[in-house]
Amino acid sequence: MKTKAVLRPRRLVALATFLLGCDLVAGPAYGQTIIRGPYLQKPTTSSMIVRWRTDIASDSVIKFGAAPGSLDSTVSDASLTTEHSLTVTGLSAATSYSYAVGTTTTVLAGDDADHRFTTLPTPGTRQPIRIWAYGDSGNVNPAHVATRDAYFAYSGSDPSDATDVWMMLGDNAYFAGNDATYQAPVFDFYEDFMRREVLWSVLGNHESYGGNNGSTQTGPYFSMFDFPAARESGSNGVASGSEAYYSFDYGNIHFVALDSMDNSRAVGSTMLIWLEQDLMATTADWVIAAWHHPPYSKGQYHDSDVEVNEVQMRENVVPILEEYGVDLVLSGHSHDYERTPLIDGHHGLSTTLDAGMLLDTGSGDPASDGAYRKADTGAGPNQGAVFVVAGSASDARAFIPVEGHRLMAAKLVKYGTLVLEVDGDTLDGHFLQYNGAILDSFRIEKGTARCPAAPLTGCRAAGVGQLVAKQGGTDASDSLLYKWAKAALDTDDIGDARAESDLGLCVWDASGLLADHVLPPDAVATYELPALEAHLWESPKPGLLLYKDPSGASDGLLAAKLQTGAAGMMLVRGKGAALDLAEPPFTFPVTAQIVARDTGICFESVFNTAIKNETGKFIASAKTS
Amino acid sequence: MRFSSGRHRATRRPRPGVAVVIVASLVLGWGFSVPRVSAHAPPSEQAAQLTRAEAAHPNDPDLLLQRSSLERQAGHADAAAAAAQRALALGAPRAAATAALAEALLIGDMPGLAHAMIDAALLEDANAPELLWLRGTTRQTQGDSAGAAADFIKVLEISTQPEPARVLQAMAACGTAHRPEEALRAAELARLKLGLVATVELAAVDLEQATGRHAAALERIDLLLTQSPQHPDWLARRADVLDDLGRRTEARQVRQTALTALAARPSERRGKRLAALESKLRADVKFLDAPGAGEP
Repeated sequence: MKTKAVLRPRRLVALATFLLGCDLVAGPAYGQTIIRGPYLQKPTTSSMIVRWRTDIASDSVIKFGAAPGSLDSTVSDASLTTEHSLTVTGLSAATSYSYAVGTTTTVLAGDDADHRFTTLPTPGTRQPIRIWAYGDSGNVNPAHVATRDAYFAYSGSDPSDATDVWMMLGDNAYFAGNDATYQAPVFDFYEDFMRREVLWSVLGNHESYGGNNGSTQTGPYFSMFDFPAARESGSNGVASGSEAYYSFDYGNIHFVALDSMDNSRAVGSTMLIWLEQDLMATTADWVIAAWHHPPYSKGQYHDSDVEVNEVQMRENVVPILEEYGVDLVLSGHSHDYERTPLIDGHHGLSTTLDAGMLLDTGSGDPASDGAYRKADTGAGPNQGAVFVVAGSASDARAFIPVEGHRLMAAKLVKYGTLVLEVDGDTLDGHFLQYNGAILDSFRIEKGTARCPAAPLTGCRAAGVGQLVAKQGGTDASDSLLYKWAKAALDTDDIGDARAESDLGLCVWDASGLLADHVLPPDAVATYELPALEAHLWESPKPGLLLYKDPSGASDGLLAAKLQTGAAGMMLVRGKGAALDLAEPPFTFPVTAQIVARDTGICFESVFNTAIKNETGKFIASAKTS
Repeated sequence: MRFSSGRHRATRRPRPGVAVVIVASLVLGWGFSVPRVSAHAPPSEQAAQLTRAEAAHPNDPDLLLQRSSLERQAGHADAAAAAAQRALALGAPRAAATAALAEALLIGDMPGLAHAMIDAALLEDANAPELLWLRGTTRQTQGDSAGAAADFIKVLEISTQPEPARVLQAMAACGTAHRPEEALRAAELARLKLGLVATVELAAVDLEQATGRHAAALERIDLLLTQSPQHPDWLARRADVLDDLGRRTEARQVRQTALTALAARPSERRGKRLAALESKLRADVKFLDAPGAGEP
């Protein structure tokens, strides 16, 4: 279509010139062909950059409007160039526009269903968001075709409509990522997709081999792309002044793109100072960071215990991100898929990994052993993040050593890409293999592990309930005990507490929430480091489950006993400064509930009187007739 | 809806070099197998690939510059210098080859010779930014902080989009040379070319403060706050500047605003650093509330 559209007038002109013996071609703007693009860059809530390259210099014109056939607005630039870049402004947020590009005399491409763009939603907007991310896609080969087409098939009839953020994690073109080598694996390979979808990117080592330098923002990479150095794409961060590292917002997600290649990664370096200032400013629900060199990886060529870029990102950058509540970190570099569980504070070599750094040792798969849960909504500090290496879009290579990095909850030497879906306080991640199979899934849920502001309704009453809460003197002497007993309790009601359930213990009085505690599940069998599994639960006999954690690491809870049967019983006990407990006396009615979060079933006692309800001490017992 | 399955050939022919070899491998590999030569390589493999490319194109100046870079990374000053010299002799761009040679000389601890090489190349192009920057670095090595500052500032003048790290480096060099006015000029150049960049502006605020120009510092921080009005760190800095200006009532108000901004984040969303900032703000407010601590 594109070729015909531009060749036909040229032939006509040539014919006219021949027949009339005169030169009808008025200027260089006639007869040019688009050889790159059009493609989209630096979206904002009210603007979009559209770029394209022609073989012959011409002026630049973009027509845009609500739909093909009604492109009633125009942006133009009279200067003659082969590198066309125009900013369309005055747009509405989260709105789609059709467009066409060309010259004052010729439409070269567009004004059809294939050429349209969508502006960013207002920062903070909570809406379903799909992100497609992968690194090391710089080969043009059958694997890359397959991984791309698998995503397009996954996305349905119109992948660009289904995609909100598309990010390449570096090494987007091999061997040296320069202007020429970018043409095949990026501009040609995604030609149609790029007309409708903005490509975000971080700098990889192979971009560096191509004459690009992140520390000077020079080279073809920086000529090809426009990234929001002045915080144009979203208002939830601060300007970096650099296109090698920058941030932007899409809906309720704050994205941070870092340069792990050229800019200094030292403590106190400009990029790290900016990073902290940026994170201090954001109030987004989610923080997703991306850079090329993975902080945790044992790929065939790339070992995060050895390579200095990876070591420095882990030692110097990850602590800042964790401090400000990063949820997910994306990298490439190693040609494989590696994905950690929910972790925090692992900044040393892989040998320094200890159980305390594993905030949830499960797979994170909601269909298996349950989602990763972060207690609070928003970007809470040090509540854990998942780190993903997605570097097998066009090449997949073995781990070195064979078993790979000991930290990983999932590791695959398979061609594929990463699909992320964020909806409100839930983030789902999937590794999508080249053949359309999903080989790994994880979910992060926020704010679900905690008690609501008021008691849940429809809970199952205990035959007998007891609540003892003591607070006073020293924090170490604080204690809490709740017993729910003499009522039917089935194993299915609470799920498999060892592997799946987070059991919540919540207490309210008339004034609101008094106590908010979580009994976490055990480490799960899918996890590969038995030595690091924390076995908190045991089942000495059928129908009996015991929880024991002398450290009280989870909200100060030390022990629990769950006995199923017609006269079932649940008892939870905690002590110490880690208890999250208001000081008695309480205002009646006082409600205590145990909430099985996986089944959604809750169990309760309501106390309208107490044996003691005085400063620092509440003791009550209740029977249900 | 159509999605291109991709063209199989680059539309532009790259210059001879490693890229050609690799791209050719990719194109030829299409449809047969996943290329194994191309993608990633540790330094040793990069060196091997370069060696193979050099064998095919022994007089390619681009390859020689890559060789020089690899040798520099390995700390081999002599080999790096030799490769750069050969690249120069074989027609590599003067600025790039001179820079490669000068960097080799620097790691060989010969800053004087590097300086002379750069000076000679700059006679041809006085505004070659990388050479000017390298000369600045060389001058720093030689202890000539004033000369270094002048070179760095010139690079900022001629750059369309200077990297913030370079701006800060230039400001630091000016500081070492006891030229605060020049450092502030570097900040002005950055603002002109990059807009308001927090890292640069905060360094400039510190500098204005250090030189007693509190009103100018306030102007800067106010401008920065237009970018993120509730930024707790910037509000705290504004309060400090107001203290220095003797406007303590306002300083107290600004600290309260900062505390309110922090309080808008639930306590579980405040990490150690924000908690420390909150403590400092509270302590400062308490101090200002103490008897006799009002406006001077």
